[in-house]
Amino acid sequence: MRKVKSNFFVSLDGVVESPDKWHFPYFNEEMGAAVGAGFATTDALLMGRVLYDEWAAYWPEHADQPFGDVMNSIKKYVVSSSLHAAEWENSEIISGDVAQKLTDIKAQDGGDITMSGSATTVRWLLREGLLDELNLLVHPIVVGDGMARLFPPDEPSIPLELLNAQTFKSGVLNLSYAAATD
Amino acid sequence: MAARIVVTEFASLDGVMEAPGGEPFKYPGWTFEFDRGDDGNQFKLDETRQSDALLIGRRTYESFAGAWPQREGPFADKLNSMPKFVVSTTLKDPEWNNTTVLDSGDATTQVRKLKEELDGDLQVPGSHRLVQELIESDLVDQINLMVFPVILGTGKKVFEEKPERRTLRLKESKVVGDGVLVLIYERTA
Repeated sequence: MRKVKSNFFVSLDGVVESPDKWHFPYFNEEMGAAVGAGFATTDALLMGRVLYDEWAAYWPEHADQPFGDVMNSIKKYVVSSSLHAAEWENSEIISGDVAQKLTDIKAQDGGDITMSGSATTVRWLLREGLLDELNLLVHPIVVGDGMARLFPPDEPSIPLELLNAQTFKSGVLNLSYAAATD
Repeated sequence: MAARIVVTEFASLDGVMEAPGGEPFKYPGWTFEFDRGDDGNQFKLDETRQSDALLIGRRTYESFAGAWPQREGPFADKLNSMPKFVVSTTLKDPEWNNTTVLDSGDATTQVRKLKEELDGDLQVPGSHRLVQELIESDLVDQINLMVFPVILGTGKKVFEEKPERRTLRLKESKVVGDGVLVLIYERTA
């Protein structure tokens, strides 16, 4: 059974937008190890259409960047009802009965299916019980600025279970949650 | 020596701090569904024992003053006896023991003055609107969060969308009870 894992850099006030503007001062060896461990078990990426558009426009032209080869060659699943053709190498569109199709993909042999971003899709997967891990690196900063948050208002309630919690020297929390099962 | 402002909140993972104790809300008493364990209870007791006064908004005052005077025990005794300052322009003649109303309408100025006049820790539980103003005025010295494993999805948040960016220092973190986090953040110098 493959696991779907979602990873976010998030601020204490829940901002996930533009981590390039606030995350870097907190990057250290511990965080590098945590991020690396996540990717070591990954053999596919899952994303929503917005992130797909962004990455599909960037990575094919930047294959020489760090991770460029991996990003271009790795299997990519894109959840979208509006995208008709995914031209980025090794991309596959999932539409229609997305929950059933993802359930089938999870039942296949293989490694973890990892998400970096795509907050809307992540919240939907959580509600559908399809997300196995919500991994949050909570940075000790209030970002504010009206930037987009992982959990916007007026959404359904989702009970969770804390799978793991670790504190880095930088004050970043490495938290792992799953949807509560009972 | 000035007093320190210590904000303390029960929060969901998505930062909602509204009505943790059974006040009217979409999910009344939502924190009671979680086991925060003996160490979680001990943390809340120690936190209040270490405080020298309460600083609260009017709604939190109404909620506390409606519950604590009838109760007994170390936690209730401390709350009932300690000095309480309520920021409100509408509260008159508060009945809860040892309560002073700060009624000028300018919370920031009054709290700044209070910080200068007092020593020790001024604890600010709940008090959503007041906390937003104190964060904006940079008067908060410490934030204690008890984070429960749930996304509530609706309700007032500890951090509303403030314009100003602030770095914090994580002073302490631990897991209590059934997946409940206790986090203590301090201001950075």
